[in-house]
Amino acid sequence: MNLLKFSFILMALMLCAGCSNNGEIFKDYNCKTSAVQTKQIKDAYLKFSLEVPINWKTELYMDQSTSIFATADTTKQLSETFLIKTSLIPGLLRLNQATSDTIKSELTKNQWHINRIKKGLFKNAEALLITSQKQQSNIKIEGLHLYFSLENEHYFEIEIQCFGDKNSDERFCQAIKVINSLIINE
Amino acid sequence: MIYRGFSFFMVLSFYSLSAQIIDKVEIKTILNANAGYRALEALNDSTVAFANSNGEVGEIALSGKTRYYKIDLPKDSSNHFRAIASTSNYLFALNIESPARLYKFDKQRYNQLGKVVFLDNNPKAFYDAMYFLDDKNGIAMGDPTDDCLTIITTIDGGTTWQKTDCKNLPKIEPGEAAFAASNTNIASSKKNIWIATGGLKSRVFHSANLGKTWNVCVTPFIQGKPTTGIYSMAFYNSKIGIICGGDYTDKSANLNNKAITNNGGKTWKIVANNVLPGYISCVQFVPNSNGKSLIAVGTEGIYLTRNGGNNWTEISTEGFYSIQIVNEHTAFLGGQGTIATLKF
Repeated sequence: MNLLKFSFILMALMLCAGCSNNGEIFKDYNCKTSAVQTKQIKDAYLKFSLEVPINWKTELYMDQSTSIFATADTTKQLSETFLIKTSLIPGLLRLNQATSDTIKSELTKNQWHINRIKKGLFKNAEALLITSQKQQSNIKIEGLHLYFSLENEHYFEIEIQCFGDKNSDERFCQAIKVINSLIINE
Repeated sequence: MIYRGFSFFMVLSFYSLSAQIIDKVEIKTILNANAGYRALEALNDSTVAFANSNGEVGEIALSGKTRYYKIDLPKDSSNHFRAIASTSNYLFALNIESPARLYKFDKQRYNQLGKVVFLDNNPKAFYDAMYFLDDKNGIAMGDPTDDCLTIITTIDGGTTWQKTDCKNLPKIEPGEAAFAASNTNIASSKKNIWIATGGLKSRVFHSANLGKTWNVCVTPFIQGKPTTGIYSMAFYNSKIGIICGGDYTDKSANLNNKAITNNGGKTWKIVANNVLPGYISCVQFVPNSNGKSLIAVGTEGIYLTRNGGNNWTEISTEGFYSIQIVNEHTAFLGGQGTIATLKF
């Protein structure tokens, strides 16, 4: 009986740990989003999938090695929506200072001003989260960039672009919900 | 010079110097509502039909007099309309997301419930535009759900619609899709139909036989990002045409975002490169202008050219999604929460 109880507690603890590691890196956002009807969409190489609200538009790209999944709620005006771009890229990404500097340099080249850099866990993997902003065609864009490696020498680069500053926290939460739904196929 | 008057509309009028022609421009809002108006279809010189983002379908006159068609909106959809087309007796509206429903309305009986004449349950269905070439032949197009664009056609005035098999269409390139910006991805002249795409590739599909067979030509248009490409296309006749667009997320970008053809879309030449306008969601020819006068609209303003797209003048900074030009001096404009008239 005690063993059974212990097993339950252990299982619950493991599940909780799994839950928190799933999107632990986003815990600062303290998101509470309402439920929406979603559809599961797989990337062009069937390597991963995301749960996307049914009325969003999704475009899948691939070249010989990289798979890109771009999705957005195009039923809304630009200043009320956001874009999510998820790229699965071949190669090793060690999240050390040199990598962090390279990523920062790339983002700066693309006109992003970096606000904050944070390390944490996402899908039980060590991840790097960068928040940034830029001005483009008189519109403020807030960016959130997430990087994490897989064991099979591929890494994810996920970018959320949130246009305008109206309800941006709420929109980031909606986007984070989509990102947290990421399922990686082995 | 700005005039403000009347309780429900705003009149904006000013003069601009364009290619040594003075244009007087007047914009008057005739409808205010909490909806997006991207799908407009001119019915005659004084009336435009609309289908909006709230599932409403109707007609509005220059005077602002509006009537709505009766529609039973299903609960499994947000009923967001971005495509509209008409024949002499019927009006058609098509929503963007899945399930896609194509409604047929009797123009003489607007109190009669619109009938769903085509249903696409494919979860990837996303229709962008619709067009009738005459009272019998119509076409609607959407993003690829397989390895080709989604194309449906009718030859019986919209009573029945058939999906074109991918084996009869050119293959779509990875990342190539279309933008449901203003119901102007399709253009036609005589038996020719053209369809414009965007995204990773910006190309123009062409059929010379009412959609029976298709080919595709590459363009020098901006491409390469999910949000770059051709957002709108117009043909003055079977030879002279224009494609416009840019990047929805970078409204001032004006690199390779306007191109013209003088040979029916076989080749395209970039015009007005690196000068305004930037992002354009809709472009239309002014009738009886010999293919020289066009008006383009985007969320940043309204632009006029009198020399076939080579030089453009911003005639208003008021943003709109779509335009339907009904004669040499009048157009209807559709925007966020508004339908307006443009006198030029």
